Amino acid sequence: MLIKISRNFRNRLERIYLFANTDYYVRYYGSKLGILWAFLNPFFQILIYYLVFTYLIFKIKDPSFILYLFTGVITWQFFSETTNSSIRLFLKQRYILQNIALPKVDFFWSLIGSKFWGYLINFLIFILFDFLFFKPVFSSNLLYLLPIWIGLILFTLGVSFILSTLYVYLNDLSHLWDITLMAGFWAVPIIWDYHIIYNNYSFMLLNPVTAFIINIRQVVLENSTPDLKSLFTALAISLVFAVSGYYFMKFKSKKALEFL
Amino acid sequence: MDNDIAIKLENINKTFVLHDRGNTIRDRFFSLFSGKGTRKLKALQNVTVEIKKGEFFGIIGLNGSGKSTLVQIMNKAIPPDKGGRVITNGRTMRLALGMGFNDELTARQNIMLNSSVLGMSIKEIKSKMNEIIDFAELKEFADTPVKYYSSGMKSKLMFSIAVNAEADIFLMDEFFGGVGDQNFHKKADAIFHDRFVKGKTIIHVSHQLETIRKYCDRVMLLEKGKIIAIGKPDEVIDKM
Repeated sequence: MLIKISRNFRNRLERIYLFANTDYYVRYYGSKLGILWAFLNPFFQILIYYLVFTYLIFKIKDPSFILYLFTGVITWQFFSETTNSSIRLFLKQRYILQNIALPKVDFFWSLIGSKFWGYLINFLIFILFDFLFFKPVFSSNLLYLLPIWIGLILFTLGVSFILSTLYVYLNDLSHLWDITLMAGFWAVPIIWDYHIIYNNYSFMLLNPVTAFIINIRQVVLENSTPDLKSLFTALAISLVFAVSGYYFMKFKSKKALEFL
Repeated sequence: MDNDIAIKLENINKTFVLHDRGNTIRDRFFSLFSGKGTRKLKALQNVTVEIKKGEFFGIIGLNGSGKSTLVQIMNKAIPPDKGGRVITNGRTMRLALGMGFNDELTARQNIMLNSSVLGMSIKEIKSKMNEIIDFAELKEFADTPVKYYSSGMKSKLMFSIAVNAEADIFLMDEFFGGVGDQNFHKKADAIFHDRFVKGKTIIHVSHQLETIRKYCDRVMLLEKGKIIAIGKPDEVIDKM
């Protein structure tokens, strides 16, 4: 019995891995530069913002602004890309769901796995870049990245559960979410200085993505402990999203194959 | 429940709500509020049936009689209306020919993915990889993306993968019969019976009455979502 359970569990893990791997592979398959695009895309995005904001708009003289952008852009990209692909997740996997009753949550794990892998690689590039052009000081504060990332994953999962399930009943959601992400990009301190939030708009810390991006910067750019109050609040909110989102998905997605 | 029962369906009804759409923006806008343009379609009515373990059970009926809906309900891909109960005893899998390939991936990669979905471990898949490719007669095309395959090649590949699947109950939706050319058909037929049917429960949905007559222990005839007859193949087929 025990052997059978562990075999099933291993099969499940392997399946999640294979789907994540496929997702990653298919995205860059067929393009001449292949996997290189995973780095080139955020690289150019960062470069464009940097040039626009240092030369055209704000005339910022501080070159380390590029590090500020870098951390914000890649973290936001993880959130927006994952939630965006989650919307059509059931539609994309319907050929499998039609044939065998797999736990639907596995597809979410694969999606998160594939996107977070991409995020980690970008983060690694950020660290290399930091060492190459700046003189960063890191300490054991880096360990705070672990709870921050767990929170980020939980929140992204929670939003993905909800979006994918709502899409079953409301196809317009993909367009609505596009707009939300567009607004979200500016509602989160990716480009602008996050200290504004602490001075006047502390309610914005209730957005977990905002809190996590700020926390990451405090750890990586300022080598300090993150603002623990915002971190814990964000973690709690993320957990609520993940758990309630999971049950919402579990019970409301039963008719997914009928409607999609 | 009895241990020798594989699938038990109790009082299964299925109503689909269809949303008919107007073509103009004005039609759609007004139907948003009026709720017009929705119709109810009863796909299944009061279906109750027990299928025993190891049985080869056929389902026949004209197009639109509810066969595929029933299979999807057995598979728990879609839920029945309130009050209906579906009990399955063992891992259930639907096999259909159009199923399950990612067109961007090569045959090898698709074998990996599909076999994993069908319950094999990565290690087992690797050890059986060449066998599967050889059986599907696709040696020269193993690393070609499936999108360049003909439909015959795809169905041969699917069959070769499915033969290794680990499940207790197979729901075959027009799956068996008609795969590949004559040669492949013979080969498939043989392996199908040696390796596949033994000890497994098979629900077989088909229009090919010959295969139904040949293999099924019991047959159910559906008409407009209702059971017309259940019994020995010859008797039921005559009622069609």
